[in-house]
Amino acid sequence: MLRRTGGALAATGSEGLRGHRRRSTLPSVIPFDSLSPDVDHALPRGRLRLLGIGVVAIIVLLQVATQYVANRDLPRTLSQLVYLAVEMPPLMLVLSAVFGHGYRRRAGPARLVASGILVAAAMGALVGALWWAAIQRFPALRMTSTVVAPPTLERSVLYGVAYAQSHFGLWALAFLLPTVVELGRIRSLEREKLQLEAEKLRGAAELARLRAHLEPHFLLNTLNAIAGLVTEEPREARRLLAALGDLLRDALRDEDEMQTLEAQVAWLHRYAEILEARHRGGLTFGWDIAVESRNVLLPRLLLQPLVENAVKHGALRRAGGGRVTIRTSVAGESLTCVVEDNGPGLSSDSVRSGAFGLKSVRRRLELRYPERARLSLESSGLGTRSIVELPLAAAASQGT
Amino acid sequence: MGTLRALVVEDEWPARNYLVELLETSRAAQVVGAVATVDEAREALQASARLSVDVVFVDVQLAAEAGDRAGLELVRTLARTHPGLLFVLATAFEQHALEAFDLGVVDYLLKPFTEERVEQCLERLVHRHRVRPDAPTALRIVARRKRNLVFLEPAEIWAFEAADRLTFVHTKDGRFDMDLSLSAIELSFGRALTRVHRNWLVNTAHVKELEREGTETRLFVGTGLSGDAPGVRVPVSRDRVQAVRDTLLADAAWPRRN
Repeated sequence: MLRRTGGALAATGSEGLRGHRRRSTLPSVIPFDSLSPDVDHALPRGRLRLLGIGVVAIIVLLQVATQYVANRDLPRTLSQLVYLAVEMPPLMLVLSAVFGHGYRRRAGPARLVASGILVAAAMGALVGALWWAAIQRFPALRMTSTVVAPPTLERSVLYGVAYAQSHFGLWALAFLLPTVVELGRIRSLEREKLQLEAEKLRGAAELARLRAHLEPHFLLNTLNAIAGLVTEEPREARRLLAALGDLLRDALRDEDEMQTLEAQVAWLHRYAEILEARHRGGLTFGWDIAVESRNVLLPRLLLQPLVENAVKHGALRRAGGGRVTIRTSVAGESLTCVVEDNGPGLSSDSVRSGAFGLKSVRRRLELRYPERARLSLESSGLGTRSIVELPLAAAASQGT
Repeated sequence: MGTLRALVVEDEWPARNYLVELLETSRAAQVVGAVATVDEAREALQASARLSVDVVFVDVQLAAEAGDRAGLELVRTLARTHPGLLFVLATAFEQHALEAFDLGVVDYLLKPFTEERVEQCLERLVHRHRVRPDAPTALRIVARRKRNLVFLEPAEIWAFEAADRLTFVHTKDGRFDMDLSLSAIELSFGRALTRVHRNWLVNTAHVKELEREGTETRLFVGTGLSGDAPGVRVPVSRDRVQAVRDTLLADAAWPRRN
């Protein structure tokens, strides 16, 4: 029974990935969850909200007071206050709800403003109409002390709409402005976070490359093995020194990120030779390299972490000797590389300890072939198989 | 000299041989066993093994085990079950040193090992070592049959053979795997053994016949004289024929060559 983990690679914005390297130290990057919008986050909360309400109320009252000072019309002022008391609270509530909903849907600012205007118009019209109906029953509510013809329904509605629009403006100033400022800050943090992530990816790819060549434990253990062979098997010791020298030479050479599969397999051969000698009797390698895959280009030493994992967490765990097989083939427009071992399969433990290698391979594939390459793992009690598939066209286009 | 009885736990073949070689040439220690896994180490340390180990040299990273520090975990459990035991760690980096000293590890050897460092380490160990009066003086040999360890008396051994880059021990009970090279074995048990061929070490006490066929010289090692008697036929390399003859004859009463 095969367990399948991994799968298609997630899309990663390549734009952000190529971002310039910066030594930015972001104190505390806001976690992604907090960016999942929520009205309480979108609109000011607590004291800020109270302050907003206070500001709106004071502005409206000042307006009313100014009018009263101008025409000393007490009934009109009182009726205006009653109108405001009826209109303002529901309007504010509905606007907040609509804005929160739009924000949650990630609506753009133009849409948010447009829906605010529409909602305010509708509410205003409704309150205007209600006001007209109320005036029919309670003429005292009319907004004037002078006797003029009572307002028509049409005028009342228009009045309601216009008044609601100005209140929407006030609401937007008091509540929305700080939110928009805050939002901009969050978005810029988000952008910075993405950039940081991209940097980390690049760093990991570089580290993986370096580590692949010169993993210190590998190096020191190999030196120790050579020291151990010197007395008894000097020829073997010299052979390993030469193999190690080849690996080091490759590490010190500053070459392109891409190499042919043939060159990579040659490197892996040396690497395997050293491991075989160190674990004599406990480890063998098998190679099945399709002729037509030899000239395909792929990221430098991409397969090394997979081979390392197959050895460390697979073959060497098998009592009585394990085997690692590396197979490559070309089918259609893609190159497939398979690294297989006959170890005990993935345990939760080995997933963890081999995770860095896998992650680095995944990231390098993401960087080089966004969404066009994949790394998958199959594991059972009989062993583990890692499979890399990458596009041939892109690889071969650079030619050899 | 030769007072410390050491068990080596090292998963890599050349490293294991190297450490055995360094320990044996120092003459301050005898290697009573060299094993590759944690299970084998535990088995070798069981009382029934009668190896009477004084010090265990443990590689921190053992490939057959989960995790990168299985050796350290082995020390942790052994320190509890075998209170008198001394431990030395073999490691690529000092990173585990602090924790190791908490566990009572006496010393650690950095890779690649050197003769000077191993000798220094042994001096330190001898200093710490309390001599056990009941320790047997004769060495036993640890071999492997598939995943099981077998413990052999040196007198039972017929010969050691290197073949296919591995080492085997031949006894009347059959052929077993050895996790050491011929040279390391020669260093550990050399007193009773003779190198008759690049690939063969023979216990002269069991040599029954010196055969010649044309230019080839062979030894029959086993019980009883050849024919269908159990034993192994061992080639003698041409340049060693004379020395082997001399050794065999030196121990024999007749015919003596003058």
